[in-house]
Amino acid sequence: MLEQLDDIALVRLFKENKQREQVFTAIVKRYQERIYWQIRRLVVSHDDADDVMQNVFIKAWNALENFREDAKLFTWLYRIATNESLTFLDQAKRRSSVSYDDISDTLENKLHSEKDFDEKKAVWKLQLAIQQLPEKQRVVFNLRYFEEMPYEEMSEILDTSVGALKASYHHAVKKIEDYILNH
Amino acid sequence: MEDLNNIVSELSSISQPVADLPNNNPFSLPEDYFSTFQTKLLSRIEQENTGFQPLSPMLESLKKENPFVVPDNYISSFKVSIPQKEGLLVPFFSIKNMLKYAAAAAIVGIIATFAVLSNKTEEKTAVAFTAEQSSISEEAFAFFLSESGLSENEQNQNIEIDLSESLLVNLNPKLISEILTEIPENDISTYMNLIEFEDLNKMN
Repeated sequence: MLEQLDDIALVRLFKENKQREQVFTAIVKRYQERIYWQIRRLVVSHDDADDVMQNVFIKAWNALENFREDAKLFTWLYRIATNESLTFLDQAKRRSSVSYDDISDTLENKLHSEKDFDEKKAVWKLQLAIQQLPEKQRVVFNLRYFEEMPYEEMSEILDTSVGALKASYHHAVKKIEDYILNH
Repeated sequence: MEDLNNIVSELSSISQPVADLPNNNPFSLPEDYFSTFQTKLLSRIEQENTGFQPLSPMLESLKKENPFVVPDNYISSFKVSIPQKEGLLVPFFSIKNMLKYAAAAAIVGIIATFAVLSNKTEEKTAVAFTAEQSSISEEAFAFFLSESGLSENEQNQNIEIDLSESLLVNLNPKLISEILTEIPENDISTYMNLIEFEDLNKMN
């Protein structure tokens, strides 16, 4: 029943304090996979992605009361997910700069420790190339290449102009090409 | 959603090698992760809202029973025996204080020695001059005054002054040299001619 309602109806029910947990579960079920993969591609390991995703939905639970109905729920969740992922990476980076022992926690090393990792396979080579990109380009590339997201939607999530996003994507693709051809 | 063909053609126009890469997902994740996620999430939200988050659910499940035993009436008859201690002895003389006093005494001693020595030097000068003064005859001194250009009143005043007393008190080598520079050289030479050779020797 709840699964058939659109986002606006679900948010209204949540605000009216009617079946809050069920309503929220319906929202989580609807978007959890897409949010998870957006996070996972940025933080790489599953455990980290799980932690970040829990934080994303806890923030959503706490802020949904004040959610504006003119905004898109999906865009809003993606925005929280991107910010949480980047915050997580910043914290991890700060930790690794303090201690030399944590250098092994870099994203590239995390990729190497993935279950089916094979450096010779093109899919993993692509992932290695993506990890060489600056954070912003990595986010843009993932959203465009894997999520096939229009620039206009990306612009709302990342609060960046369409022109700047196109430029970022172009630079990211060129860097990946360079990495693929030289490795 | 934007036409997929647009995205593919855009990528091909930027880089054909990248467009040729397979874009399937290589990552793996635990089975049933998404089906169990909502339950896990709701339980965490409940914990956050109630402010209670057990660090270890296993420890939380244990009964908080005390397994230790104590002798009967131990708590009610418990007494603390405080050992009597002697008062703390504070030394009257400390080495630090003694050193301070010794240093102060040494400084006072040095200052006093300098003061006494400088006083004695002044006394010696005064005594020597008294001896010189006593050897000058009254006639010679009166002649000196008459030649010095002083008025009669001033001369009388000077004669009436107890010379030994006033000179003894006021004169010191510095003052004498200042006076001598003020007296014209002619006067000094006249005075020197008048006094006897013996007197001159005594002055030296």
